[in-house]
Amino acid sequence: MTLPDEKKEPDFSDVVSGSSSTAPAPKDEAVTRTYTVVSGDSLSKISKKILGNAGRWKEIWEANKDQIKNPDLIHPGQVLKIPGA
Amino acid sequence: MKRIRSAAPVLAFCLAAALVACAKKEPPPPPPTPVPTVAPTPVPFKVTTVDLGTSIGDDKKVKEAAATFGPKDTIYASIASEGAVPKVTLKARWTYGEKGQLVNEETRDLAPTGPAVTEFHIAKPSGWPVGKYKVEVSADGNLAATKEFEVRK
Repeated sequence: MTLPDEKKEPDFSDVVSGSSSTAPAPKDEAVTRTYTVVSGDSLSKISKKILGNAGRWKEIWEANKDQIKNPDLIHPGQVLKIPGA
Repeated sequence: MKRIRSAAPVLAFCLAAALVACAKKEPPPPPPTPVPTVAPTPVPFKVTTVDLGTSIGDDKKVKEAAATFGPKDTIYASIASEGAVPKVTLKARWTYGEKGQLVNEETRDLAPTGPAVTEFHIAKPSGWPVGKYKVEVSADGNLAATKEFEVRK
């Protein structure tokens, strides 16, 4: 007897995203964007996909130190503030 | 002759009085009544349409609306809105399949002063898995619109 193959969920951690608007951003707001962590993400991956440069991961970490103690440990579903975006 | 002499002071007085009257300044006009300043009334924010496509113009609108995409396409969601508010948080949540696996979720804070168009886009360099997808657009946490689309080979 063979068990049916369990379908593996696709990996969306390499998805690149962005946004823009004709409307202005609210005044005096340093952070106007957020990103929700998906399975397979790391801070450098998020930095690459959102800020276009994996090396800026520390900026994301700095903006989220209230919820990220270890930069190598983030969880799917976490909503991160994206600085300077 | 005597009569003429006695009239001279009177004439001089009248002339002086006339000069004074001419030189008298008009009273300054009353200050203008201040117009009460009314703060612009916020117009409630409302998402009017959401269109999907593979490219957008400078106006952030998709050039050609689509519901089917290829694995290598960049997928844009162009969100038209009305309203003028100091701050609204617009969110695009992209999911895959019937289970609703999260593909991407991003928010953007806006301070629209009238009709506006906001775009969110996603791309996957390694290629989108074929199947059905959905994008949910919400404003300040309230679901405003949903669009379904499909990726085919």
